[in-house]
Amino acid sequence: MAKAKRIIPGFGLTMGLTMSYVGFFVLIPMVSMALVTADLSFKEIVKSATDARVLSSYKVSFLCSFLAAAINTVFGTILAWVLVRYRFAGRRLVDGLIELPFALPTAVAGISLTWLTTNKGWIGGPLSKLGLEIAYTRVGIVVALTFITLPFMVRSIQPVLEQLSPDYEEAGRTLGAGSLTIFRKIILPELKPAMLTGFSLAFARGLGEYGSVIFIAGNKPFQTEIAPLMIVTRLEEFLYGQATAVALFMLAASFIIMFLVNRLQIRAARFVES
Amino acid sequence: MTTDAAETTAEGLVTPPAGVPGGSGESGGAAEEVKNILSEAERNFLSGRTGRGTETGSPTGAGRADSEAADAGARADGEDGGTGGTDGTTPRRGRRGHRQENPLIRGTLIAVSLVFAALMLVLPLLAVLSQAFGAGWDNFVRSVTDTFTVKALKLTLLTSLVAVTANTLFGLTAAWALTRYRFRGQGLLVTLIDLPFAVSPIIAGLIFILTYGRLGWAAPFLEAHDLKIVFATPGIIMATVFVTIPFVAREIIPVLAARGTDEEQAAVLMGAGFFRTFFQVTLPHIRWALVYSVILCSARAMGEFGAVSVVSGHLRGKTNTLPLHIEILFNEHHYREAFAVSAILVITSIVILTARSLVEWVSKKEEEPGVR
Repeated sequence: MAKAKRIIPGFGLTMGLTMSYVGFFVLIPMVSMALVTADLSFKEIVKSATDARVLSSYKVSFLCSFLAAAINTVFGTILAWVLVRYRFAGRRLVDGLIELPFALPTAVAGISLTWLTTNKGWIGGPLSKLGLEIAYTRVGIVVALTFITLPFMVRSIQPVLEQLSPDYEEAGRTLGAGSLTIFRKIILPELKPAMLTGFSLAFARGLGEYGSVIFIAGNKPFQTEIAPLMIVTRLEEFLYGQATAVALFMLAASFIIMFLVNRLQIRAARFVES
Repeated sequence: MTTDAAETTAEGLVTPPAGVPGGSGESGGAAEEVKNILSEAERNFLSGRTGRGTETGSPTGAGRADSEAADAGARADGEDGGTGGTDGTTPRRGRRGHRQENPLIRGTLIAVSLVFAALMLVLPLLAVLSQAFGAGWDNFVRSVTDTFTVKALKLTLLTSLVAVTANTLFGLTAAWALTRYRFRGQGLLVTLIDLPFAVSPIIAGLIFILTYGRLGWAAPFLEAHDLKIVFATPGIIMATVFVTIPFVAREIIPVLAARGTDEEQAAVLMGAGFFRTFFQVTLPHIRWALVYSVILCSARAMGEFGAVSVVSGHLRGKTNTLPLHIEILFNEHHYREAFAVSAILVITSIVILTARSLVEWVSKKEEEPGVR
């Protein structure tokens, strides 16, 4: 590719268009965020970003995203395994449905899950008789985030599993290893990087998710208010500076996660290579 | 990402492809066998590439177009077991007989998956449809043909059309620029294209408010020219564009990177110009990846809520898209109407998912007979 540098025409045209587009839609808006931030004093930023109500919204966001990602690590791995390794009736349907959370508008997912889990819904009804509540609690937030982030996990693991030859497992089995040992010693080490990637992607997405959560959360301050909602609340109060401060904090969090994902992937690539 | 691609390419060639050694004995001549192994190897190699490419940036779980190829092998496997390899041209490794996994574990895992999928994926769909049509067809039609709903639908269609068209053109140019040339700052450009994936939709809306809102730095200019972006259609379109920027580019880049530039170079050396090279040499290879990514991009564009909600201002009949309209209906306790409108989007997303599977299926079929 390096030698091909200028043989192929269109460098100026495509680069120019690409740069202008990215500049207009991504760079300029992001720069305005930096400009607004520059106008704020450090003290103001810290104060707005660590207001008690905001702090509790971080807590809710991080906790629920973490739990949802953890749930998906378990069930997403099982789903990916089942979809790659087994043949059964309805497999293709399930495989197609995995991407539903990507295709379904988040607001629709939100109202649907809310309706299902309120005490009049199909799931919430029976549960409420047992004294369990999902809608308008943090459990509801976890449910919504689990739905939204499921594909990240499954789609991260599936390609790796497809690459993983069953020969090794067969060898292990021939040598007398039980299913648990095979899983722990042969499959898990291969899947770990993909699981971590899936987890981080799910976690990062969960932190930023808004549409599906606000319906089911109930949005009670200090209890079920998520961080993105705090940004919206501040904006509605025309406190642009405070909104930006909270946004900065969330951005930093998701960049750190993305950075870690990249590191993990580089390490995983090396691991496979050796 | 691009340096990454080089790494993975090398590795993909070195790693012995997963399925090959188990080659099925039932095939015809040795030549057939070799051809099989080759295409199998290529498939595995391809799927390895995209698999990793996908993980890096695209939480769309996209990039499946290629990784599906490997899946195709596996899937055909299963079906061959029953039909005895009907197509005859591609006998597969018949590894099913070898599997000695505990049937109890197998059964439990399948059951767990099915229950989880039913609860998390199927039930929400059924809930929407049952609520939408529960009060009869007439009710549904009345809710859907409500003036505000129709206006919201129109705005959603307009927004999606503009955003998807713009991002498709951008995706193609960006993929071309990033894979056909080497230049400084390539990594930075990829990061910028990826950025919207990493950013919360709310922040996506926020940055447009900060730029074009009443207190934004572009406000004096906009006011002077009597332009309105935020709380108006242009803002909604721009926020949607921002959120869906990576979809097409992200899908095309790995495919083009994997193909290398030999064919384009040959075409150019033989005298083809830029557009001719693109349309006759490059485009045929990325056709399906392109269709696939456009489908996903449209899905996201139509359903975007957070970013649009921030910049829209929620003016009913003016700046309300369908998802925002659903929110209003739901919050006003017009549940029937909310679900009826949702049903439109649910049906659309089912259509989108079906189209997606179809594209995968067709593109696989085309690759199948070992054309390359």
